[in-house]
Amino acid sequence: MTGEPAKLPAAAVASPGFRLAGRAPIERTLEELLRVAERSLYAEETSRRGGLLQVFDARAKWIGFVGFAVAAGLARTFAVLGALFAGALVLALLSRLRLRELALRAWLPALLFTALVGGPALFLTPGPPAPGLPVALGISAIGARSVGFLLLRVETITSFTLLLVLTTPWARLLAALRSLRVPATVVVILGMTYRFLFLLLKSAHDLFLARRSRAVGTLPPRQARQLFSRTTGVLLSKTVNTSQQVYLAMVARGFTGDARLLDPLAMHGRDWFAVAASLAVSGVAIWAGR
Amino acid sequence: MHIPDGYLSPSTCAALYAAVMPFWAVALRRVKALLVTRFVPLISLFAAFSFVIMMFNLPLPGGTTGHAVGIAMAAIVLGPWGATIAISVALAIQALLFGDGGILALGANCFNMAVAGSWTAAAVYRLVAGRSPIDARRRVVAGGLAGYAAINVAALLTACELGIQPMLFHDASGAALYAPYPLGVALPAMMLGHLTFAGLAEALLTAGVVRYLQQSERGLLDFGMLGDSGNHASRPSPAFVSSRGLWALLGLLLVLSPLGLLAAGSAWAEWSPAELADPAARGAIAAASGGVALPVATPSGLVRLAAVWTAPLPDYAPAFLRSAAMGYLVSALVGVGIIVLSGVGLQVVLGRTRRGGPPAVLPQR
Repeated sequence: MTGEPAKLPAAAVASPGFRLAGRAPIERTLEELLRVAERSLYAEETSRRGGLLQVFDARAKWIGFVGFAVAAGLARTFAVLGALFAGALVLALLSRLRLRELALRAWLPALLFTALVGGPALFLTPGPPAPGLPVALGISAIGARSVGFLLLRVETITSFTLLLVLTTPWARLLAALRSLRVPATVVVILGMTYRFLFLLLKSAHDLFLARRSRAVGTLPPRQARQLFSRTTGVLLSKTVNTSQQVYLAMVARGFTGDARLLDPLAMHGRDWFAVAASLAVSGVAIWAGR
Repeated sequence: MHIPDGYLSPSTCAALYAAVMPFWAVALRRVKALLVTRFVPLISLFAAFSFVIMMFNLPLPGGTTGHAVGIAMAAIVLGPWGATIAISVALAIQALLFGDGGILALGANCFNMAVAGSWTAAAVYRLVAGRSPIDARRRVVAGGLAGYAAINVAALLTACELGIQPMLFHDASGAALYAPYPLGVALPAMMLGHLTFAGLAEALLTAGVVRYLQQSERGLLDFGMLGDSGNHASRPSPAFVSSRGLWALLGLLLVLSPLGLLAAGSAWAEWSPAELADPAARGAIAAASGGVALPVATPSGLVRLAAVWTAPLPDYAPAFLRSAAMGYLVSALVGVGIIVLSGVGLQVVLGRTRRGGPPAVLPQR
């Protein structure tokens, strides 16, 4: 279903933290393309660590984490949200995920983004001033509660999503979707998209790097825009041509348009127990967080 | 644009999953029927392409940069149904693999960008490009406008979904449980950035790619990949001709129309003079308006103009029906019926004026 990803840019593999000097659009794009490839590699690596969550069946994790996410989504009290977040931290530690890495990769970006988006609500929401804070700040109690709910909820649900993704290889994540009645065609498309994502990331990276290598200094904005349009167009042509080649290869191997998947998953006793336990905890959280 | 989890209530997420499901089902069936075996690799590669171009930092006039989503590019090459699937798959991988956009909110993100964005882009491109030659500059403009319209429609829907959250979901103290801004704040905050930078990035990139395709890959323009042998610009996209799926969706939306009863109070800026005079309602309006106090007296112009027209079905509640849900359903049926009859009437009139010409449904090439 999903084979090994295409070969990644050598720079991404050799140096995960690779950053190009300068902040011109081409450099920023190169940097972003490498970061995407590096993040995918990181997820593949963490899903092979021998921790608690890595041993469970992917279907059990899907059901469990969606249950937790819904419970966090429905919670109306800080206590329940905090308890769920703490539970996610414990699960991360038991799964041999380093909290510092998680903080840098997910929690901090989510915190900064949500603070940026939700921060003004502290001052815009009318109401009595928040207790314990200087009145001169103009932060209302309702505003503080609103932003608190948003921050904690976003961090909690992000954590559960992250736990699911970082402890499950992509191929098993997709196989589990098939078992959960997602159409086979959709699952095959997701799998192929993931595989060819690396090919196109590499193509885009090569295109920009080739152009960057032939330029001295920074391109004027107008020329830079033309470069981006042409590169996108070339990438589009490559995409269509590759799809034709892949199609021919698939037909040559007997593809008739029907998607069939191998289902290597098996639910054991511990998986059923995990499903029951997570649904029970989610149910209690939903009840307690009303 | 990508709504993360936690900003929308689970019920909003569920409703938007329900809204996007029929589009996914119809799109899968239609595109699969058109492309048969080519469908899987083409959509997969295009989804990967959409994903990759979302990483591009396009330089914009003024020295800043912006990200394009590529909705219009997908719609122009694959057609709206194909683009619906390709963009949805790209969004799913972004959510699952990179946490960009939530899993619970995936239905909302797909509805905004993959469905509304793709269909807007296809419609605007077709409308503006008209019957112009394949290498006409007008098609470059059409591509740019399609990109601009698509991203802004998607942003508008996102702003509406975020803006209704504090109105519908808050705790006993009045604190918002999800996105904290009312429509009055969410709409301008969201649209300002998209009407300027994000819209510009999408327009410039789409126009540039259309220009490139005119010079190098003409067969890809005008939904060129939605056929079995290259360019089918000579006939209208089948997606536009048959509309069975849309009728089914319309029927579903009619049945779901009583969901409107879940929303308490009036929508922002749709207050009646009676509400503006009621102290309790005034408090709710002020709270939904970011604390801006209302004028002491109801504006005289509003009172005067409100009396000019009395709706036959006020507040979607016909007087002869006791059930509020049934009232919504009947109102929706009446509204849809009037629109459909108007459309049929317009088609008849246009058909007469174009006697002997092509059908009036959509322009043909």
